[in-house]
Amino acid sequence: MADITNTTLYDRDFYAWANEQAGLLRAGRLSDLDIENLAEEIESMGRSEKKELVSRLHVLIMHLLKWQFQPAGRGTSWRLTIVEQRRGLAKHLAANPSLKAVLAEAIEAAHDEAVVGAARETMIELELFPAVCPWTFDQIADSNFWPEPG
Amino acid sequence: MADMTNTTLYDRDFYTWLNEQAGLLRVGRRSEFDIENVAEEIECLARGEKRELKSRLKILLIRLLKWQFQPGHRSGSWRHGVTVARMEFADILNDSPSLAPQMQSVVESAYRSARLRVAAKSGFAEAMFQPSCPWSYVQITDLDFWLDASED
Repeated sequence: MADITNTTLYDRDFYAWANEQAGLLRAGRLSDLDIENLAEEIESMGRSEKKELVSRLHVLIMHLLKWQFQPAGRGTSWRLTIVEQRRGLAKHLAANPSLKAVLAEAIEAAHDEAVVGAARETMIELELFPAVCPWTFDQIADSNFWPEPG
Repeated sequence: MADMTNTTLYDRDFYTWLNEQAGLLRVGRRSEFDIENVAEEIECLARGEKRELKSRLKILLIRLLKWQFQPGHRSGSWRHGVTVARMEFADILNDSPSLAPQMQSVVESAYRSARLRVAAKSGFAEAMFQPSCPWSYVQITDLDFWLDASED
């Protein structure tokens, strides 16, 4: 049976629900909070932070692969993308240092997607790219690291 | 003096803070809750929802303006673009219907930025476009409204 309390306000009107929860918090009415959905939303923000880490690594690794595998295509645009993503990555990890614990897993996921993008853009066969990421996190993040053809 | 309590954990490590707050909520330890920052984050979600909806409204107005000013280019795909923009707007509004009155009040500012964008992209002078939005909120969001009927 549906009841027309907080629990269903979450489903009926997210904007109204969020403002209501913030109001209850500020008024100190903690026992009236919609605990389950509030916890779910907070966890979802945590998942977004992790997703942003993978997404930045994805773009960065893809461009480093292109840099190494297609030196003829190097130019300002690739270089600036790498610089931009390295800066963004550093800022993101500074705000969320605990994400360093999931770096290995994030690099693996990002590399998996990055090789496909690199193959598509360079027209080099997918199988010619390394199956696992050839660089350490320190190399990926190092502003002085520019991989050369092997 | 920095203290190493929840309040500064929010600044030091957002990801850990989020997981900790969700955990405190779930086990019912509400008294240890970082109330101020959680309230701020939840309000931020609400603002994000409003911003997203306003941005969809602007996209919709851009497509309507193109439809209006470049009738020679009208095609099935342009028409489809307007319909998709309307459906996406309606989808988000459906999640947060209480935003509808606010959307009616931002039509003018969304129209101004849409007009600026279409003028820049099309090369038409901005003065060619009406100074204020020629359509009502209901018309803008109506899946069956295609301008010509009201212009004739």
